[in-house]
Amino acid sequence: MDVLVCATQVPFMSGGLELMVDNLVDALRGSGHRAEVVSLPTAWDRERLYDAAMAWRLIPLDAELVIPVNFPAYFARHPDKVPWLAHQHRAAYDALGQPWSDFHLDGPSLDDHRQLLDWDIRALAESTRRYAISEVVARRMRRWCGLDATALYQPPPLADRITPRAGGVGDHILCPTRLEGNKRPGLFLDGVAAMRQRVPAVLAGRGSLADDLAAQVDRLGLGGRVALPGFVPDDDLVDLLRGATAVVYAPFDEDYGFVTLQAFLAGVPVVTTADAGGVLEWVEHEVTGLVTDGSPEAMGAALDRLVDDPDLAARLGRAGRARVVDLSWDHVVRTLVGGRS
Amino acid sequence: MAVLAVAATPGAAGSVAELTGLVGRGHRIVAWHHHVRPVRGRRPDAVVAADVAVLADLGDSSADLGAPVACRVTSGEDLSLARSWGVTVSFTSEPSLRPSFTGPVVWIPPDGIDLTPLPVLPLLTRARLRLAHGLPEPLVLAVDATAPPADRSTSLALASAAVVDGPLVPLALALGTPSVITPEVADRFGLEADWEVVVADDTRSADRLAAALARDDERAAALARRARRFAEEHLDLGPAVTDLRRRLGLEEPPSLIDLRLDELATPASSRLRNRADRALSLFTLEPMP
Repeated sequence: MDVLVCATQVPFMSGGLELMVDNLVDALRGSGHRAEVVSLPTAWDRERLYDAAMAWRLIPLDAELVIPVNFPAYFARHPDKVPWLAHQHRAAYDALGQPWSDFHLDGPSLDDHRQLLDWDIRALAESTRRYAISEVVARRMRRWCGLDATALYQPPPLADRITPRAGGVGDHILCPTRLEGNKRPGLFLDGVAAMRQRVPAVLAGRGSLADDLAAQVDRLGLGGRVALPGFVPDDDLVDLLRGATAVVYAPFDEDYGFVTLQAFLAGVPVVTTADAGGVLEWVEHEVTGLVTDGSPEAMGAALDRLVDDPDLAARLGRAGRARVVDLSWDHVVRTLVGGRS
Repeated sequence: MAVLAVAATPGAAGSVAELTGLVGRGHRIVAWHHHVRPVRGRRPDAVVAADVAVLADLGDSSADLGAPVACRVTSGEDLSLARSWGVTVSFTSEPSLRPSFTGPVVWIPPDGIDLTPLPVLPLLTRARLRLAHGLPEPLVLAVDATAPPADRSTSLALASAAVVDGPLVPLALALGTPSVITPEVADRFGLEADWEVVVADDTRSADRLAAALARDDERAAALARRARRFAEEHLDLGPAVTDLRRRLGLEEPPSLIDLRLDELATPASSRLRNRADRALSLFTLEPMP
């Protein structure tokens, strides 16, 4: 069948969503469908936020099925619209009133917030079926919009290349993440500094906090233990994952979190925090990883425990891998297409 | 600004007063005086007739008047008379006429309210506002019709859930407030238990069910959404008003973008309508010389 994947384009930016869209289109084509991406640019400031939503209402989408993946692409108008949502516009939802959101509780802002939620509900209610990339995203839709959605999980990037290393867990602590505030890479450094064991650690990734984190490493006296390689190519990332004793991934209220799934595919347990959102759909305390309160002491103690007890680390890692190893794009495509050819 | 005249036989004007106010919003509304033409120095641009009996005052047929007429009808006989006179559109709140719509007849919900000034405040947003204003959390209320009108609206707009008195049910539904009502009221409005509302047999269980609803935000949000949709589909005067305004020439025919904004129930006075109008105004076609 002819399928259009509808996505929002933010010019000059590329990240996890673009990767997900590319993978979905590849998977649709691999299943014998004709698939294309339709993307429209969007600005995220409140003044212009609705323009792209209106544009989506007006454009013709001649296909048998459309799959919008984020705000405002789900304003697309089509008789068979099946959203698979990575996110709504979080600044107007759970981030309402937060310093980094331009939606607040004052009059004009509140009017815009109400309007956006009302539009969202109507546009999403038009759907034939609704899916979200995680239970966190689905729950947010249920709580804010009163609309049901089903979590539909995808395999992470590099899934076909990440395997456990032979001979048990590795010898370093790893945190692969974008170096941005919502990912909280500083918690990783604080946790490593609080460890009793002096094992090497790697904070891999790039982002706006890179300089601050380098300063934090110096301040904590971690210069000889923590490597900050910046961006690492795929091959290096696979090696880092396979050679880790534990992966730390502690973002705030993450929508999904590929890092967790990649660690599990490598048979490595994940240490996280109780407020990490979608990460907790995978990390079950004492079963597939360790969930902490996010304090340096708790994070350090959790990491020491895994370093001290490699059997525990291996057992948690195996359990994690068992949870993710069967995730497949075939399943995603079959679910979204609904059994049609 | 157009002139909208209201024509009524004695005692009938009240039956169309609220509707005429909404249909004539932004225009000049005057009473029809058949002895004095044109009305206050100007022919009316459109007429609302409160009953078929007044049509004779307007002329022998619509051709005499030269302006579109919307006429209230309450029976099949009225409808035939209105059609034979040549009214532009009839409107009715008579349920027995509703299934027989075959021509230009507009349905006016009998318990109808204007939803335009009653936007929904999402339940989780209410919680943040309550926190900001030091109000109790959750806020579970029993709201009855003895409260002053402004207090009713404010209470229902901010509540986590409410036990609602029969006359206030349309308002509670419109505001998307998770509501507990009696079985009799549910029957009267055609509301489904545990779909749009929660139904309780007595006061004690009503209070208990409202408190439970306030603690279950996913269920409350689903009920709130369906309650508002029920109000839009069964109680809202807005679609009928827009239809009448367009048929009477009091509102421009909708552009494509208007239709799309209508689909999303975007209020006429919203910032987004204005923004769309501004964008489109750049492309207004001038007649060729």
